Parts: sequence; C-alpha cells; structure tokens
Amino acid sequence: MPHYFYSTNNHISGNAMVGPTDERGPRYFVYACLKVGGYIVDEYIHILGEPQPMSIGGQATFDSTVFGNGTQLVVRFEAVDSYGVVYEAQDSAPVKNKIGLAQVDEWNGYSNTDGIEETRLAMQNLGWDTHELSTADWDPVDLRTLFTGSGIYHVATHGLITQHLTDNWDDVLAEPDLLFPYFPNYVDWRASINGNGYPPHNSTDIPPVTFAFLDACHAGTTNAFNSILLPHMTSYGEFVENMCLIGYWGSVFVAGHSSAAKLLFSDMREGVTAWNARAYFLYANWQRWIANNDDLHVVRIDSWDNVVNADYEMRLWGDPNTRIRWVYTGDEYLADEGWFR
Amino acid sequence: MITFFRIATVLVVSLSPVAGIAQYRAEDEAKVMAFMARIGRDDAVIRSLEVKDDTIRVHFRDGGMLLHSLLSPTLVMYSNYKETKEASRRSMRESPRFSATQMEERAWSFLPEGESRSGWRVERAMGFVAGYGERCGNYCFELAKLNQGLPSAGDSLTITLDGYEGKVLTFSQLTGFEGGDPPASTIPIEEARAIAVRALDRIEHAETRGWIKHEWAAQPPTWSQRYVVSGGGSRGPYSDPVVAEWPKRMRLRWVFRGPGGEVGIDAETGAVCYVGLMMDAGADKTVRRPLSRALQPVSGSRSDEEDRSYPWLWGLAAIPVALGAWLVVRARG
Repeated sequence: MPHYFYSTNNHISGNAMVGPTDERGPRYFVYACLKVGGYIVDEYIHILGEPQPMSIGGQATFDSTVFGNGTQLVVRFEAVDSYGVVYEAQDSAPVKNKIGLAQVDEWNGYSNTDGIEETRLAMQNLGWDTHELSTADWDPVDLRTLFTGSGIYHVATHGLITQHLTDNWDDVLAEPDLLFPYFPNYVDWRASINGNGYPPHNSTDIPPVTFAFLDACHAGTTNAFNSILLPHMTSYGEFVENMCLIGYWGSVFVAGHSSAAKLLFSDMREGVTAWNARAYFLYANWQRWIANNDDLHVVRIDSWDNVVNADYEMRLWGDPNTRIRWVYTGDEYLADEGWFR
Repeated sequence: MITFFRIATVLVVSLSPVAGIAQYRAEDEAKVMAFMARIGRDDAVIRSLEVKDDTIRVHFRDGGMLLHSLLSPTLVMYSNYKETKEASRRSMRESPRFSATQMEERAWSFLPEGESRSGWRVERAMGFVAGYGERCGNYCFELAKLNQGLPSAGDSLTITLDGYEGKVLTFSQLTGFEGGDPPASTIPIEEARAIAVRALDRIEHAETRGWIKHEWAAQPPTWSQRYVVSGGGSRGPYSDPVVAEWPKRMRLRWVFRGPGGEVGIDAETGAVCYVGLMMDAGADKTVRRPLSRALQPVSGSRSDEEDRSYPWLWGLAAIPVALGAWLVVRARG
C-alpha cells in the first residue's frame, strides 16, 4: 500500500485465494471487485463454462484528483466464492494534491501579467488544494514551504539558465553551487523533502512534482531545472513517467506572459497531456499574434516581434504525456472511464 | 483507417441532406494529407479529425498531431512526440547519420511553393545534441522571409529533423503575410536611440524603471531593423497613441535592446511603438553575488535597507583583529 495517493497515476491491486475444500467440494471465485473510495474500478464475474479460478486478483490505475485533497481514501478488495462466502480486505491512505503558485508581486493584478491567477482560476474546483505566494517580499524560505508537496508548481519570476529569483531578489538555484553551497537550490530541497525511497513510498510521505511551469526567462534552456522533478529517473534510464517541466528557452516579455498559464492549464484541466497542451498554446499564441501583432496578451521571447511559436522556445523536459487531470495513460488518449483504467 | 474514413465519408455524403458538410470534411482530409505528403509523412494514418474555430485538428496513430488553420495568413503546425522521444533515446547511444549541413539543405527544401532562397534567411540553426530531452537527437532550423532585404516578422518556417532518419519531427509554418514598402525616409539611428532611451521613463514600476535606465546608461543598447505589421487600432505597451491610428501594414522599425528590455521606434516617424520589459531583468547582473544583493535597484526602499546592513559586516571583520591584538597583549604581559 502506498503511503499516499497523489496526482493521476496511482496503482492499486488486491487479490484473494479461496478457502480450503470442505465436504461440499472445492470452491472457486464467482465474483470479485476492487473499489476506490467506494467506486468499483475493476471487476470479475464468473461465467458458467469458463475456468473456475481459485485465486483472483484485481488492479487499476486511477486519478486521485477526483477526490478532494486530504481525503483518507479507502481501497477495498471484495470476492465471493461459489458457496457465497465473502472475502474482503481494505486499507487506506491520504490523498495529497497541492498546487504551489508564486509570482513576483509587481505582476500581480494585471490581466496580461498575472499568470498564477490564471492557473488558480483554471484549476479551481478540482481536487487540488491551492497555495499561493502573491504578496511582496516572499523569499526562498517562503518558496521552499510552498514547494514542499506541490504536485503542480507554477512560479512566475525573473529567471536565468540555472537560477530564478524570489520577490525579494534572492536566488534559488537549480542545482548546488560549488562556490556558494549555502545558496538554496532545488536538488537540496527535493532531497530533504523526499527523504529516502521513491514516491509514493518515500520516507517523508510528501509527494513529488507532477507538472512544473517555470514561468521565467531561460528556465528551460538546459535541463538544469529538471532538479525540480527529483527523484525522476527510473533504473532503466527511461524518461520520467507522468512528470515534466515546461520552461522558456530565452528572455520572455513580461507583458502577455500570463496567457501561457491560461491556455496551458485550461487544456490540462480537461485531461490534455502536457505535450499537446503546449502545442495548442503555441498555435493559439501564434494565431493571436497574426490577428494583432501588438496584442498585449501574446507571449513573446527574445524580441517583441518574436512570438513564442516553436517547441524549442518553450521546452518540455520529462514525460510528454504528463497529465494533471484524468488518469495517466502513457499516451495522449483518455481512458474509457476517464479517471481510472 | 484512411480507407474506412473515405468510405464513411462517401456514405455520409449520400445519406446526409446537407451534403456540403460532408464535402467539407473530405476537403479537410485532402488538405491534411497533401500537407503530410509535402513533409514526407504521407504514410501517417489519421486517428481523429475535427474542425473547430477555423482549425483542422488531426491526431495520427503514430503519435503525430497536426493543427492546420483555414484562415489566411495560414498557420500549420505538426509535431510527433513519439518520434521526438525515440530520436532522443537514440542519441544516447548513436552518433547522428546526417551532418548539420545536410540537414540544413533538407530544411531549405521545405520552403513554401514559389519561394526562393534569396528571399529568406536562416534565423536560427540548432545542431545535434546527445542526451535526454526533446532537443536531443535532432536538428532544428528556423527560416524567415525577408522584406526589402531586411528581417521581417511575417512568413516563417521552423522545422525539426531527426538526426538518424531525416524525418520531420516538428514543423511550423506561417504563410500569406503581406510584405511592406520601404519608408519614404528614415530617422537617423542616433535620433531613434535618444527617443528609445527617453521612452524608458514611461515604465510605471519605479524600481524596474530605475534599474533599466541605469543599466542602459552603463551599457548602450544594441540595435537592429525589422519590418513588422503595425497600426489598425492596436499598439504595444507604453507606445505613442498615434501608432494605433495608422492603417494596418508592415512598417520598418528600429529596435533597441538592452538589459531588461527592448524599445521599438518607427523608422519613418520616430513614434514609440512599444517599450517591452523582459522577465530576465538583466540576467548577467545576478551571477555570483551573495544572497540579498541580487538585482539591487538603484533607488527604492529595499536598497536603503540593505545598505544599512553594511556596518555589521565591518563589525564582523573587526573580531579577528581584536582577538589578535588581545593575544599579542597577553603574550607580552
């Protein structure tokens, strides 16, 4: 049993074996079901003439965001044998889904610069619990608190290739700095937040980041900020699963940058994968610019006349099929049942 | 799948009382497949196709996705996440089979019909990188159309090519932008630069304004010229109101770029087209300095507060001196 459920890629299973044979003869299972929060997510019904199973298992992958953050979610496996004996077992774990939003104060309150407000609006009324740093002078200590446990992390600040700033103009580095080891950095933060082991069995019981939008200049230029996704590699050297980071390749203009959050999150809240959400954003951003070259809601990079319209300008690091709503499927298509498969 | 789709389309045409709708879908599919043939992907099988907001949105079975505008100027975007990922994966164990020169040649072969190389330029070329990430295992080129021999914000083509098979991984193209005539006269660069620097005073946020003005004074902005569509009722941030009153057409701008921002000046009239602020806010100023000293503004309460902390540093420095003096006195005593 995991220590907690988070995001959209939770795996559960249950199994049972029939009791001993008695004077009535051998038993077999005629029915079994796996439930999450009272909903059946996997089911077996015996059909006459088919093999008679003496052991039975059920499994499912589900999206925890359909349940409210903090819910103590019960997973229950039930089976009934051919003599009507009911077998049942259950366990539970808390749902932990937090959104962390932070933004430089001078951009708050303007429709074309207030990016985190767009994210908050797009993601409200879902199972995510939103926390926000949108006041003046927030610093690295405030940010670390916000970052802790954030499955969705959107930070809109001034930034560079290997660091971004906080509202009080301090640095948060992507990785530890050899000359200034006391600088706060995401590697150290993630190491201490995660503790030992891989999520969702890590020692601190705090979930990792599923989707990060580093809404700052240069944050996607290299893979330095992949540190936000730690511990992110599988032992097979594969890409991370259901974890990714989006960041810009160059200098982004302040005016209009909030449109990216609006378009990205309004698609992702409908179950669109990160790759496709970005593609839809790039297309929509370009179309808006075509209609009006000076539109104040166009995201631009490096030059006022250079609209963000190519993948390389808004890079995606990690799993392109990352999903923050509806169950993770490993591709762009939704599962038949939406929230589980 | 294509066969099935075509059969389905024919059936709908014959059954539907509004035959025009079905015909429209068939045209869309033809348009899509013509584009796919152009980029060498005519083997792609359509999984879904929908038309929404003047855009044909297509998903292919191999992980490809196409967005094709039905408007003019026409925007077409294709990307394939599975093949992008595969090229990246191969880059970790294989060298590319194609050189940058070969791939650039291939990129040029995708120029829109009727266009010649002399009217375009390579805006950006990104070479092969090995490792994880979507930029690994491929080559990327951005080609842009010139106007009157100068760069322009208009027709362009961005293409990512697999370094192993030469396949198109992503493709974005804008066509149909009208070019503009050269201005009757242009203001000198010195005059344009002076207007640009004065325009920085329009920045509302006092700290940002102070910082950028300080930086631009210390490090003069770089300049360039570019044709951009202006007017038609819209204007950029902090621009002159007259900009919105111009008829919408491509005009020449002086563009001045310095730390934290960029200013566009109309080359003919000297009108301020925009004062754009960047989110890096002077990147190189933040490197290698202690905490709480980053991007210190030239004015404002924060710098005053931080300056007041300096005497503490002098106090700390005095401790070892005093300790040394005390030890000397003790030793003599």
